[in-house]
Amino acid sequence: MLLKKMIAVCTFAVSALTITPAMAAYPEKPITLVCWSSPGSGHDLMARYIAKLGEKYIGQPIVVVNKKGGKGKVAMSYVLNQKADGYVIMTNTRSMTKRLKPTGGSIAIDSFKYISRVVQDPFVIVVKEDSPFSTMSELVTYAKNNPNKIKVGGYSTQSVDEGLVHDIEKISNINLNYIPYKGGKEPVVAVLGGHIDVAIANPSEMMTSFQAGKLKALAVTTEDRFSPFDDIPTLKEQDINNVTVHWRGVMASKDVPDEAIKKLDNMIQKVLEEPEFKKFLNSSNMLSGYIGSDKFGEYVAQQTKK
Amino acid sequence: MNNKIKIFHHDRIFTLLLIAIAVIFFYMIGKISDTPGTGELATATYPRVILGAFIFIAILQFVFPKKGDEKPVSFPIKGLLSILLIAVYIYLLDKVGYFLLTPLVLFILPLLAGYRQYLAIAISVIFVTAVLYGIFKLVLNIPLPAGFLGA
Amino acid sequence: MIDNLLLGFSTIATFPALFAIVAGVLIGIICGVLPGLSASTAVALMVPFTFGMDPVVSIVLLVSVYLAGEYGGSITAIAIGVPGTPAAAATMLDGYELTKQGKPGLALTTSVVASSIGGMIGAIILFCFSEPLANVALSFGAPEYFALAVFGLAIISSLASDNLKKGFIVMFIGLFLKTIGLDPFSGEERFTFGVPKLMDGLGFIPALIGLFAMASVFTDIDKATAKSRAIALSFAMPKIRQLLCMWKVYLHSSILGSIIGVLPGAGATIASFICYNEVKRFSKKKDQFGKGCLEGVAAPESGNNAVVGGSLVPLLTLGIPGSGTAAVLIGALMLHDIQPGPLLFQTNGNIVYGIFAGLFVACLAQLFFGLIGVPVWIKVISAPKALLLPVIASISVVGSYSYNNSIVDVWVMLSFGLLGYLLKKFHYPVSPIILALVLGGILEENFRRSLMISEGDFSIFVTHPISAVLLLFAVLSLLSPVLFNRLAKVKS
Repeated sequence: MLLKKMIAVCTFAVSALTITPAMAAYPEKPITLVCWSSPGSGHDLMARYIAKLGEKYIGQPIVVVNKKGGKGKVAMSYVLNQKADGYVIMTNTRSMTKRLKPTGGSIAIDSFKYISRVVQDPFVIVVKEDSPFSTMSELVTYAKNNPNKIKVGGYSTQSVDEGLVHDIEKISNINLNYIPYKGGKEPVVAVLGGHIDVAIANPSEMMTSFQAGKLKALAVTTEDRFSPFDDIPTLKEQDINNVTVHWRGVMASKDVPDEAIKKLDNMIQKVLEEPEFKKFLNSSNMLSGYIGSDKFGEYVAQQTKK
Repeated sequence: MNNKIKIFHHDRIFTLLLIAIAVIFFYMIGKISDTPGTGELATATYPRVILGAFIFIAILQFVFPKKGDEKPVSFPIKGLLSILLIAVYIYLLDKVGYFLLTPLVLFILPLLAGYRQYLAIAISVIFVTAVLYGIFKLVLNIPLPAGFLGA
Repeated sequence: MIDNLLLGFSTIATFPALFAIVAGVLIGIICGVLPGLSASTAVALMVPFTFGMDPVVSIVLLVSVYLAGEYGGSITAIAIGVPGTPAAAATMLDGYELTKQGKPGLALTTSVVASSIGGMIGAIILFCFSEPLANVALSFGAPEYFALAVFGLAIISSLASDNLKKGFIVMFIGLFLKTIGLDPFSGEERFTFGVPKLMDGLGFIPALIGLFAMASVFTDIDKATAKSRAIALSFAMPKIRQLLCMWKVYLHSSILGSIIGVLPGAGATIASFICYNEVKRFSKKKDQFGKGCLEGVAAPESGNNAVVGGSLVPLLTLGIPGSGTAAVLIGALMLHDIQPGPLLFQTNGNIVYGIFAGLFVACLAQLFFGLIGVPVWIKVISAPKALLLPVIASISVVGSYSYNNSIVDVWVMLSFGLLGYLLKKFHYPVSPIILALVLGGILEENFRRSLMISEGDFSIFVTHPISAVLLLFAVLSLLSPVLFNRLAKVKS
């Protein structure tokens, strides 16, 4: 008798537990957006704008939590260790996924569902105002005669910056001396100070010095030219068939239900339309780079394949 | 007897300990390998130089300690207990939660130091916990380990 | 120039701006006092609050927090021997000695006066010399930074002059611990034992808290007996004449501090130690340093507050941060659609000069509140030491946890606590570790980067003039204690 009662209670409890989340409309409590860089960084600001502007579309507050460390690994393992119910999501970047294997291990590309790509951050290849190079072809010609002599600075090793330099080397059949720096602005400072020849930089890192006429831009790395660099040709226009952009987006654990992913994706799409977000993109010199959850995963997988 | 103490005094034993740890790490470096490019130093080179220099100076210190270095060093049990206490505290922090565990642990510390004014300890412990809660949780909005109490 | 000055002061002569300065100074002092919250963390924490504010008000608020945060760290360093910010580790050398002698009032007052004067001189330098100083920032490439790091490390020979071997052992421990994490060039893991958190290296703030705060709890319990009482503290304050006659120290350290602040990647901690060392080098009372000398308190404090003005130079003129805190400030400026950089003076002059004026007023506010605080702090530390132990212990734990919301950092803190405890037991100096942890990264990274730039040619370090001069100074200061000893022996 007692046993029966207990079993009844238990089954009820279990069914209540399993059914509730499916019945209730997501989201019914605040969402945590984990950011893998430190407060105040460009990446963190993007997260905070999504949190601030997204609240009215998703109907719940979004809380930004910073989990720094291990080039994103700390944040990723944190997110993967949470319940996969869509209440803990995280920001991602190309440099972060670039370091992951496609599958296997505790953290891989397929451990996640990719909600949406939010912004793209193209690269500008810059030299000092008095540099002998004004176009990529001049640089390539010089490099052909002087292998390993041109010092190119970029952000970190195994990064998107280094990948871009290696791609250029392969396509043009030249050898450059790639010098990694710790922050994105450091290579630009080194170029300004005349310590290295070329810097790979995002627009936000070189914009002010460029506008003040202290830097020359050799190329942009996008498909088409973009404002305010309308006079600067793309790599493609200069016979270097390469398009490389850095991007930032949002992802969640792979077990999060598609319904939640869809809702979050919709929210981000709407946030991108907000004038305040557009203003933020403009002031931090980034371009909108929306790719929805239907294509984002494939896009990331493809980029990490090669 | 007297001579023995002079050769292996406490300071030398500590130096030996440091050298031993350094040697273990030096051995570990051997497992790091990569192929550096032009002008690039291998990953292992810098730690090797640092540890090598460290071992060298530590051996110098072992062989030629300064006058006064040979004074004996004692480890009172209460000091070791306090280290253990804090270690246990940190271990339990995530599990039990900051605001439950902290007052308990903090109450024991002054007792270890031999202080016996229980009321004064209680007041200061509660006051400190409350002030830290106010600053970190309420003003700065920094989460602290909540433990089983949840959010 | 006068116009710009007036523009600056009129920009901040509004109630919200002045309120922001006062609030910022108070918040900064509190954060500085708490060992887990350094000036840069404090500023980062305040950024979200400024989202909706007027740009001038928000930037003035952040600058005030930055300034006062650098000062606040010295209070605990002097009062209980626990530096609240990394830079205050240098202030502690003489400041805490004075407290042990029962004269905390002397050190605390000197510290607030020196800090505020340093901050003001830094602000003036920012206003008058930002253009030429910006060039200093640009002239530092990889070999120059390497030489600066070597120069900084050479200070150990004077910090640990009574037992050089031990000083260098501790320095190498610090340099080694700094290699834990991802290799900056190959991306290989070094000594991480598979802990992802350690890939970024050991947290500097947890290390600092462990070495000083936690270790002091252990040693105090060790030494405590039922009879041990608090030291009798006097409320004695320094005489105005005493403070005035140190004008050379303030000036010397402030100029040095601003220049070091200009260099991206250096910062308040390096400035503090270098200023301490340089003032000691030129002082007539060399032998009193480390035994409770007021100049030893004034030098690092003037230096680390002058860094604030200095680090704003490259920020405003080149758009590059002069310190970690300045990097956060750039983010905050961009939030308000202000691009820091060469054009800022033309496009947003009111903000540039507003920052300058704000910094100046914040120094006055800091002087005011700092002086009011002195008797309060003396009162606090007159409490029985046993009652302070739980306070220090709990701040250590919360501070290291909040550094990154991670329990790993708390373990790092405890490990450093243990290390600090052992070092103190065996009479090793502790401060060289701090210097090594700050400079280790700069040292390795720029050494290797220099060699990449020169394609393996070591002569790059001597063919670059700035690097050659700094290395020469480093060798001189390494040898000087030995030479002085010889000289003394010859004389006797």
